[in-house]
Amino acid sequence: MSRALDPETVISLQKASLQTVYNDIALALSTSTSELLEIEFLPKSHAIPTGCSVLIEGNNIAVTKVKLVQAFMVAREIFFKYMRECAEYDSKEKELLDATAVILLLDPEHLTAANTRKRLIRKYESGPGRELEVLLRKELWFVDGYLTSRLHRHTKSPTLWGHRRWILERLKDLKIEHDALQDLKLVVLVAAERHPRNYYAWSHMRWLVQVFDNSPLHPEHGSKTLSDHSQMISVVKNWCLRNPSDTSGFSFLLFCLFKLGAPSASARTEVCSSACADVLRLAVSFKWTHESVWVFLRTVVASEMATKKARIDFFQAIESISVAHPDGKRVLDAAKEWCQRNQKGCNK
Amino acid sequence: MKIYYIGILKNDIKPAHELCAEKDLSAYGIFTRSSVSEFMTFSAKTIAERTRPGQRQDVESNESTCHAYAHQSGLCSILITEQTYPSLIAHQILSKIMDEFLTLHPLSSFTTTSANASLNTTLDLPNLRGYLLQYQDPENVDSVMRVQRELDETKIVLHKTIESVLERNVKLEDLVAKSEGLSGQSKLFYKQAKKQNSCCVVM
Repeated sequence: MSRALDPETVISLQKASLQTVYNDIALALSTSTSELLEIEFLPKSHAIPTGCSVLIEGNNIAVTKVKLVQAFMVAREIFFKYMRECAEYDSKEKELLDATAVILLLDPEHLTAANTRKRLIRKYESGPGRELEVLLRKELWFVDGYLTSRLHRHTKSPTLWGHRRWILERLKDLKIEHDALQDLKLVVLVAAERHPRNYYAWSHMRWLVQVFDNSPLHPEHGSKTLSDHSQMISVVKNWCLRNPSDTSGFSFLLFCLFKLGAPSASARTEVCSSACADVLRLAVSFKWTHESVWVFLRTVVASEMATKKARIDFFQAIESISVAHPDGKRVLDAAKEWCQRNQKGCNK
Repeated sequence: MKIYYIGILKNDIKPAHELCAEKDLSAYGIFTRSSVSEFMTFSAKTIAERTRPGQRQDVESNESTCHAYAHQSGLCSILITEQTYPSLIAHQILSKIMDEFLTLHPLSSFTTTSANASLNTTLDLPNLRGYLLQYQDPENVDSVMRVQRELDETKIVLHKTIESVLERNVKLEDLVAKSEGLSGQSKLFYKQAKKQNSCCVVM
């Protein structure tokens, strides 16, 4: 008998191996761990042993692009099958969750996959709140893993950040409190670090802070709010100083200084001046000419919350750095001119 | 203000020998970390070998800079940082760790007539890990600046590419291929990264 394989067998074998690849990857993605999943794509040089589709070490997962595409082909088939057969939809939750997890790993902008996950959660909206909360938290764990992994496109995916926002909106509906500062440290700053000038991460943070802010209208939360805000400003400021060329970080710092925090003008001025002084001191020390730094400084210094001293220091700094770094003159001069044009009256 | 590598190498032998080093590999997933680590050591050695006693140089490549300071004693301290890290400060740190190392380890512990004898030696600098972490914090770096050492910034030679440090007719790919410190996997990793023009940060 010939050892050659007939076409149907070849196809069925190929299908069988694709199915195994899919099963392995889907299983890895639904690993239950308390920490977030850390997913990376292995370059071709780092081969996975034959017979395996995915490397797992604790909460660390690695797949090759090739295997992921193979898994995607199976995932897509499953996904559209159950999407069409609406009667089956209800009983195929696990299958759809697995398939969409694989789809979103290859293509984070697959909106239909993301929305299917939302629809699966929505089915529990009429049921007990506790059950819904558990599901929402699990979904948060899932999306945070993708947003913080070392995956170039996922950290800056509007679909995934939008998905996160939807989950938090549902938690808000259930009147569940959410720690914005924790999210900043564990999710947003990580994503911002992995993908510099991460517009979507910082936008998300802006939204998050405003939605879960214990507004000053609730005086009994007053002191907690103040220290939370000053902690947030401190964390963001330190991050910006470590990443001085990241304009998105500085933009968010401005947002915090101007929109959050103490209701009284003098308290705000103090916080602003302190942050401004810290940034200016290091800018002078390191002779920074990053545009991001100077856009931040000129905006604070020109505002009503600046002190006279801050303005003097600002202009002096520009002079001294211009001498030391003539190639940064364009940025420094632009900052100086902008400030002079837009200066508002200051308090002190 | 990222620092990826801080270390001291014996550079009066070829290949240069890493006596102590600390690395920050947190930007990489655990499965590719070992290759990146090997490349950092490879870069440090390659540049240390080409830094003459008394010389200071900065070699830029792929958004990172390798700062080197070679001492008369046949040692070279190396710092690999992101490109925006202030050079003067990097060199002050290089001087600092060199001084500390020489205070801790007498000349006899690393000078030898036989190159092979030193191959397995590692001489610790216990503060190294601490410095790697501390000097990524701008406030700590600021305090280093205030303890000014006599350092002439104009003496630091700047190379915009690693190729400009190499001898004529020596190609980086060949050095990579020949290197004993790089695993087969790492060499392949480099080849493919080069093809895709993607960054292998320290190369």
